[in-house]
Amino acid sequence: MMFLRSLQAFFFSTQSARGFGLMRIAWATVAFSYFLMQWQDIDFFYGNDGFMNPDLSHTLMRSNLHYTFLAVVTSPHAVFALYLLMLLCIFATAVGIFPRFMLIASVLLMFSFHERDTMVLGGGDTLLRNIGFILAISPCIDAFSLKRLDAQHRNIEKTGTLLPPPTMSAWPYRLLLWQMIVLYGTSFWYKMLGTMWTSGTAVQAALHQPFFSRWPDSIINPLMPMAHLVDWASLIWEGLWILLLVPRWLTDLLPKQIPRIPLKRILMIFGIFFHGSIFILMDAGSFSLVMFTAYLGLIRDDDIAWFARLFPRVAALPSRFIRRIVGREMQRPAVS
Amino acid sequence: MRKIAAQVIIVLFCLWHMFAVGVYAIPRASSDTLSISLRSVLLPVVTPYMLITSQWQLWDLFSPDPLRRVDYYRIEAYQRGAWFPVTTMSANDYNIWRHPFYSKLFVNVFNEFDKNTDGAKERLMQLLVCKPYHLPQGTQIRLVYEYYVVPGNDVDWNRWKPTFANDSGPVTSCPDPPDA
Repeated sequence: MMFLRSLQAFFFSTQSARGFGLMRIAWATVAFSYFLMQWQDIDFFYGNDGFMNPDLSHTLMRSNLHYTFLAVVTSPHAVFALYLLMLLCIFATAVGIFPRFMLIASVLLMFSFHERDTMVLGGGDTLLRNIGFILAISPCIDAFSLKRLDAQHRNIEKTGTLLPPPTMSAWPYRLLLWQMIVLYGTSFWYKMLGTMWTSGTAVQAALHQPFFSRWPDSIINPLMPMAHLVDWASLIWEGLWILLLVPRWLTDLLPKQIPRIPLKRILMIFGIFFHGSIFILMDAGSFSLVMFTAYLGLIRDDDIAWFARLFPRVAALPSRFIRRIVGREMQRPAVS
Repeated sequence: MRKIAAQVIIVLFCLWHMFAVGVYAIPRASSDTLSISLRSVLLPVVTPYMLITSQWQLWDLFSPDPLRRVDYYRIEAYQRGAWFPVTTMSANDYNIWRHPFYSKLFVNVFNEFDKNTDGAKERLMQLLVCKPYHLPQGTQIRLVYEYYVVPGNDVDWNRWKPTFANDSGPVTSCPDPPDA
């Protein structure tokens, strides 16, 4: 019975849905941007006249369990029309017009384009699909949407109070956190199978790959004395994500003198520097931006409270925004 | 009762999804006995779900070791009894918007040497040069890799200079105009 209660609390405890609302916006913004960048290559990448013609598709793509709208939509004009429809759905998802319907439509269309030609995909595209799937099945994705703004407006007119903060069960958060642990854990595992990451030379080689590096050697070379340190630090940091699997009851057994560290926040802060550095130094597609997107979904109430203690002015911006719109301070009822 | 049933279904789904994601992402390059056993027993179980839901994933970015070979793709045409270069291209020929997609395309098609033996390289060569360079139908074209390898050990990067080498790629010919 105790176990069942713990299981229920683990998956169904209530948490803020604001992180997932922010993640919906970021997911749609990144997806929209990277699909827009393919504007002039849509037919080349996804049309029957392009690279992946039907003959090649049969040999390069898997033959079983392969589903894409583009198997039946093949003419260049129809493919481009579907592409425009996808951009429209993704945009509506970002701003939150019919967010649930638009998100599911966006996800299905994104899957279709990705499954049509996997040769142009990178890790960022894969993670976009993973996050899109979790968002699509999450019970609440309306935070920071026009739909919620409209509901908020009507509620203020009717009752003079704000709506309760959006909340949801914890299970989508658990799926997302697991996805991130698998991502970092297996990435660490892969790196340990080679020789360059452990010898500290992987970062310098990657930065001297002219197709990844954004900068000339004259700027990259002076950074090389730090390359070993960055190499090992990133390896350790990826491996540490596995520690998030250690349950709270186990760490509670440790003596009280041992300080508790907010491991997830520390890993995420390091991740912002890590992925931010990659984004500035290298062109690795959308990967860094999609990682930031996933981090938004990992933000919970206690993280927001911690952030508000550190940066009270920034944390007060949303309520200042509402005050400016309605012209007075609003009362928010407690979560029921 | 209905709420409990819904919760049971959600928990079972979450556990299944987590299991499938975890199993599918086991590195394919891992050759220890446990990994091989897990892959051989469990991959067939989870793969249909991962493919149907488009959740397939392998996180081998810059690993096991980063890509060190740097290729420039020279495409030559055979005309008047000799091969002459039509163009030399790389992902860096594309602007910042198109670069991520072409860098993946070029590496996946031209540099996966043990894969794509079914005409992928030839198809890409034809699309890149036949119509854009107005080569007549039937013109023979061939791919030449101009490449160097970035050192995998510590070197004095200020003194290091790339040493280029050439590799020959496939030979094909420009197809009928409607396909090119």
